[in-house]
Amino acid sequence: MTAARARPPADRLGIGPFVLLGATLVLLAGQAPSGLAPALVVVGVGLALSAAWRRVGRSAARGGEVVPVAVVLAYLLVVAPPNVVTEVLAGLGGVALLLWLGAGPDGAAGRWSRALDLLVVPLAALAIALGTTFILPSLPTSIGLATILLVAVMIGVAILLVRLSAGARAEAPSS
Amino acid sequence: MKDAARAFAEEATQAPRSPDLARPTLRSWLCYGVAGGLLVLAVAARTPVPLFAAVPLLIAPLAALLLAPSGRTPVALGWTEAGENTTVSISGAVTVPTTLDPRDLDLEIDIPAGLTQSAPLTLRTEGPSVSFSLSLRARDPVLALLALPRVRWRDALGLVQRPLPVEGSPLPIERCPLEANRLGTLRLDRTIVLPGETRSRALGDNGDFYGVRLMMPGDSPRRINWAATARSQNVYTNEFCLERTGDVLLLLDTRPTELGAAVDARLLGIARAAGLAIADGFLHERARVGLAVFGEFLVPTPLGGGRRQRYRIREALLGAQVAKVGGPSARAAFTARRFFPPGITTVVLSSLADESTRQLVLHLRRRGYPSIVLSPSPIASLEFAPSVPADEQTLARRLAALIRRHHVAQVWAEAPVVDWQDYWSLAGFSSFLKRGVRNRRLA
Repeated sequence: MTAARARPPADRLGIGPFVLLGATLVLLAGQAPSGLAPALVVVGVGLALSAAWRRVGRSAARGGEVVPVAVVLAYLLVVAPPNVVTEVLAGLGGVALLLWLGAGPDGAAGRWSRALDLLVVPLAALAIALGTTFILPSLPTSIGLATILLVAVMIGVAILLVRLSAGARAEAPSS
Repeated sequence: MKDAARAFAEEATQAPRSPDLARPTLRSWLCYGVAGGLLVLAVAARTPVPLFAAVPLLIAPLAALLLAPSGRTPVALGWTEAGENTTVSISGAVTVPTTLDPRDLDLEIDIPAGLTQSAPLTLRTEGPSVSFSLSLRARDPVLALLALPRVRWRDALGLVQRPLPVEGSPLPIERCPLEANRLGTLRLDRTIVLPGETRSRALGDNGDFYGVRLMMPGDSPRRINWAATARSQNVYTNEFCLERTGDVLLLLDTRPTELGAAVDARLLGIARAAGLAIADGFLHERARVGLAVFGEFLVPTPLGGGRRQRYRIREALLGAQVAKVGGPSARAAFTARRFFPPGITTVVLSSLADESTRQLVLHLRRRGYPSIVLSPSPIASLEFAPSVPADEQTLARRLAALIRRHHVAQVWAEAPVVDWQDYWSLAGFSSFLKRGVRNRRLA
């Protein structure tokens, strides 16, 4: 027995998120101390590898396309000097990577543009982290990040509670 | 009542189902993985910058889980099947609750054995529903039940997914061999009241108009002849004449053979379609038809006529699967005597892949069931890998044909066998049946 699977037509490359991710990486490359040209080469290679992997990759290797671009992003973030611009670009890079992952071949075309409801929470978390780091200059960066970890734990606990209550409802005998 | 009891027993024996909860997808774990890597890197390089990139990757899957639909959100399915001969076109629509976006649904349909996909499954969003269409091709005659599709909701970024319960009914697909309707013109042995080859006649609720008589208790008001009643001032009812040509028993052998599960399933699908076609042909001519499905045990559908009997036979055939363990042949013949009168024409549908069918026919004959074996040939459905050279394929086919001929010859000693090669035609079986009846008459 075989199975036919269908979903709304997919956008294999995810052009919009891909452009956003590329632009963020290029801006981060501009912050690299080693100079723009070598960083741009690294960015170009990473983006090309990821795009090619996504386009021609087999289903068994699904998810692997994130590796080159994530490595490039991590490299640029590590070598970038810690300042307001790089930290904002880092947050933007995370969001762009998330959107590009969401626009993969097993997702529907245009879904990522409808993801605003979902993006509100991570963007708010990012805003809290950046706000507590920069608007309150007397506090160190770790305070902002600790706030975010606290938010993440709270969301995790909320999800746990919701799932437990849903499970209890499903197991309750119906009269 | 019996069906309700059976459903209750099945439900009671099933394991409790886990609630359909939203679960993270591979993409969520990728996000966590990348975020974790960035956290480790930040600690190792003593720089806070990667942590800001990790924040959205860490939070988004959690937010997706939080925003996933909760509670029972069933989707309503309506679907139909169209097409002729080998083409099967399936179209339908899934209507979702207003709380869900139909663009976030994925659909998966299991294609039963005997059908192949000729065009991809396509989806189209129309308002609160998703309409879909699927084109299949029936390479062989097939009688199958298309199970309810699996519908899955995924969030906009594909971070979380959740199966949705589907409300609807499975879709039966019938593609039966041709020439089945001509089978009914055969006059079978009458086995109801008296032996012999005379046609029986029964008066009852169905058939052709026969006459009128005074109404008696138990008669249906629908049979009242109002014109005769008005003329005579007495209540008269119509009588109908039902001519039967005899009784037929279809015995479907679902025991596993050495051909393997895939070939067994395919041949059983063909045999099911043939069974329904033969039943159709005889029921059309008002004969009584019974069905016995023999796997480990014999599951009978007692003799009957009319559209209801067709429905019963179709349901029984749809439920017939290749048995995990084959029962002894004597059991089939022994059990058949409890449900079917001896002497009725018996059509055994079997692949004749091994010795067990010969034993089955032998025991049936000893118990008083004159049998005719209709055997879908497995040679016609032989498939080879593309890497096998053509000459080796030819050799394998010749060897398979020799083995097949040997098996057919063995069974011929007990009962006539129709070696069914062209699955889309029952002409060979039909003409054989006519010839066989005529020969018996001459004898």
